[in-house]
Amino acid sequence: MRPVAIVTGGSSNIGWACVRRLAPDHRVLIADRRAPSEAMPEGAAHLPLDITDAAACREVFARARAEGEVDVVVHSAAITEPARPLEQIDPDEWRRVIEVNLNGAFFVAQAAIPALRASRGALVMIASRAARVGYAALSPSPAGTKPHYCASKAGVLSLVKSLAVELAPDGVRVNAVVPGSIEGAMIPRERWPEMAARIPLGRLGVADEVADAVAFLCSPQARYITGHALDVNGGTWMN
Amino acid sequence: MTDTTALYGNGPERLPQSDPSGGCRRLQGRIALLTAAARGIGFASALRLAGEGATVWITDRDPAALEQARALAGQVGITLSTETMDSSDPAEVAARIAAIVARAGGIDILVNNAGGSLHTPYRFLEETDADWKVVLDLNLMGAVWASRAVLPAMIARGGGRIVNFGSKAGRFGSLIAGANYAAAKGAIASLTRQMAQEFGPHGITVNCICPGVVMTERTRGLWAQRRTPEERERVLQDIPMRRHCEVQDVAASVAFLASDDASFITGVTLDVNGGQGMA
Repeated sequence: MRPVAIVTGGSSNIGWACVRRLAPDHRVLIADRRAPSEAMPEGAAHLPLDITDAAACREVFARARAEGEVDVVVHSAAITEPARPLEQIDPDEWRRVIEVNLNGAFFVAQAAIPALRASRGALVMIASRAARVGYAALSPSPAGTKPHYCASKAGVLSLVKSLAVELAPDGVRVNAVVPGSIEGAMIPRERWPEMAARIPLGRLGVADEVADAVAFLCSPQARYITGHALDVNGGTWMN
Repeated sequence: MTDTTALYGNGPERLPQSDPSGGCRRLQGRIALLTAAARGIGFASALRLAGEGATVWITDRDPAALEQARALAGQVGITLSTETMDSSDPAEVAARIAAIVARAGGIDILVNNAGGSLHTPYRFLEETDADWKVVLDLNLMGAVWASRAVLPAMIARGGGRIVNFGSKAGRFGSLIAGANYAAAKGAIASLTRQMAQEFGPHGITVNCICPGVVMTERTRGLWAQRRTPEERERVLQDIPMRRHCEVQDVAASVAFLASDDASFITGVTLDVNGGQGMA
């Protein structure tokens, strides 16, 4: 029986690329509020999930464990908001971004722990270059930044380190993939050329390249890598 | 159905030890050059790259070790081409790599593996200028000289991969090697970032791997000599994964960075340290 992989936010963009990358050797469960708009790969299934609902997260993992050993968890679900000056951000908007991106990551991680301990599996969380350098540094814009998005993703990076330390003695590895500018819905297409000019490799990345990094960190190739944040950004920010 | 136990999960016991490819086949048609690769991490990486289909050249200053490496590789059906080369001698690096490039017809993947603390003192105040020079020459300048020799051919081919070796020592300090070694490895990370920026437009990615302590013959001696049994046990307990790094752990990361799976990754420092240091 194929092991089970759970991909939150698996219906679109990077999450969808991870679903396709893992599908050949996993029963992939797409935990997302919406179902994918394209045909799912063979063996994949959609489970509706709002990651801000802790009980629902636990339920999804219970259902997944009934289908097999869950040895890979990819947490990709996140939201963003338009850039605007910090002064103009409504507290409710701030709370919503933190609730989905940071609290949601906590709810997913907490629900995933029993399954991962049982499989000695791997968890990868998708962060963002915004966590490293903020938003203004990437795309100078007089309109403002996305402080809630940046702060939430920096929180995810920190959460990954805590989880890595806690779970390593049980053989569970936890890492982050940190995408830079990736072609897709989060960046308007008209901005791609100007952004590509600032990237040493001369182009934006594609979601499949992020999925390749995720697959690496989930595989035994990375069996001694934990607590690491792997940048996939074409050289725009180097640590 | 594919047996996936070898592909996913973490337990080393689930790894196909007899298969140097690690179950992947990503490097067919590529030509790889690894420096100082007759033993340890370099040799394991050479086996891994060859196992994944690359044509592999290794250098070492010790011809007997090269011969032994070639014979060992042959036992698992892998052919390695060898060239005697002292990575700390710039003229020799230039001449030998030029010869390899000519015979191989180009290089797609360069792994700057040459390095080590060369039994220089651990204590900063005991290190002489000569101790600094030999360690910087081998660890830092060796990578500079080899890259200089390979890059024109790599640019001409329209792209390539350079994998440098930093170290946990260069990022978080070392318990067994001195300041000269830590500084050289820190410089490798800076070199990596600058080269990534400069050669990105040529389609060349440049990354570095920072392993934790790998218990090779050399480090095992230093570890026993420079740390008490109590200290050694405490350090092991401080590593979240509760074990030291193995050469195969590192070889798998070399193969990843050399493969198309890492095509948008450049300028990174990849920590392979079991969580001992998290940047």
